[in-house]
Amino acid sequence: MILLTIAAFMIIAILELVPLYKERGKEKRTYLVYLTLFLFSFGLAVLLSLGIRIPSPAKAIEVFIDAIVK
Amino acid sequence: MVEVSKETINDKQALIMVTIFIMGSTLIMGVGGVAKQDMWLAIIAAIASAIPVVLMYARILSTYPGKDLYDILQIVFGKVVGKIVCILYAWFAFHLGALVLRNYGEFIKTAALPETPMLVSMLFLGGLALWAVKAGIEVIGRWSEFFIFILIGFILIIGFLSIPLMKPQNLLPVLYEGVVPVLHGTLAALSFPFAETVVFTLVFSSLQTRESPNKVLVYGILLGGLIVVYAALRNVMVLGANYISMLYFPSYHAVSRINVGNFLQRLEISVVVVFTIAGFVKISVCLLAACTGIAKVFSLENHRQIATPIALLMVTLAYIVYKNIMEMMEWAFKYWSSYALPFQVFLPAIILLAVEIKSRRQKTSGKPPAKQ
Repeated sequence: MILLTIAAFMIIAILELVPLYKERGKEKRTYLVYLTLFLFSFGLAVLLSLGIRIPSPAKAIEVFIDAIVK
Repeated sequence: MVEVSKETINDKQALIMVTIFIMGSTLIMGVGGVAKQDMWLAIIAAIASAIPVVLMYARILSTYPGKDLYDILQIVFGKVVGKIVCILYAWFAFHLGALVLRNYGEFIKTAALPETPMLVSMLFLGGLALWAVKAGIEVIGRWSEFFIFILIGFILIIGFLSIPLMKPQNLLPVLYEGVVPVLHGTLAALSFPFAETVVFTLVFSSLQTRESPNKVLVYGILLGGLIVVYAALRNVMVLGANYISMLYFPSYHAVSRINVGNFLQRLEISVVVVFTIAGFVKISVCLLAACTGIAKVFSLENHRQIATPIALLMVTLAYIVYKNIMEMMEWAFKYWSSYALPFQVFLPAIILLAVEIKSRRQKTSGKPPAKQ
């Protein structure tokens, strides 16, 4: 599973990240935003495929709403 | 900032997109369940109260034609505050897309493919939405224009076939428990499908004229609302309100009862088709709004280039956001309205106020400075 995840993300990187890297002189900001989001989603996917439970943002929103409404 | 290409969609396509967006997950999940057999009253009240809300959105959009809400926020509130509110709206669109994706995954897992992991169906629908976003809003508009006929066709055929199963006495007694449950249902129905159209203010920079936001949003709400009311009436008349409260996906069960001469059976697949088509449009619009938001916040030229990681994150969020279907339903009916109403009603009201003040002041200062 983890190998599959890494392979899938590598294919995406080859298709999209490498062309952006080559043009980073022109559009540096796009490259940086892409890289950040990409690494974030890659990290989450690796953690998920290792079977680690990621805390859901729904719980945080629940606590927040209860603090305001109740 | 230079636009890469100015995309325009005509009013008909935009209207159909709004209609399909409202039908989206509502036809499956059911809405206004707290009002029991009066849920159709709750939905009609919700449509009536949604009209002023969407008129507010339309007013904001038509004050600055050719701009979406992200641009307007940055014009009105300045760079820093505007960008903070932009991030909030981008998160809202992103979260909404993830929730619809989760609904789709749970529905496919419960109803159609119980052995397949939920991630697979969500990944494929997310991939399709990514493709649609890369293709642009014009393609989503044309796609909806084509597929609305299939949706309406299915809905009409299913409607006629379920007439023999309907028991109008299921709608009685009307207002048995008073008005309060109906009002609760109205609030839920307002925040669940109708005022979610706030996402369209984030993508409709491409309408043709100044009056189109008005027309598109109001008629879209009315048309989509008509279909939602029809679905609620059909479900209550076929299944009864008590049975509906036990079900996660009432439409699926209502349609699965159709049996014409032991020949036309198992028509519930049509519900899956309708949900897939409508949910796809809804997820695409949300993903488009989220991508545009991130691109506008970081002043990027092209939102398409960053669409892939955002789509992947959306699928991840949809996967981790709830543990199971019970949690999903509890969240959707308990917390969603208090979470969504600030984005749908309160913030737009503040934005409209600021827009009005700003445009008045510009009008007065636009005149040649005479005295002082």
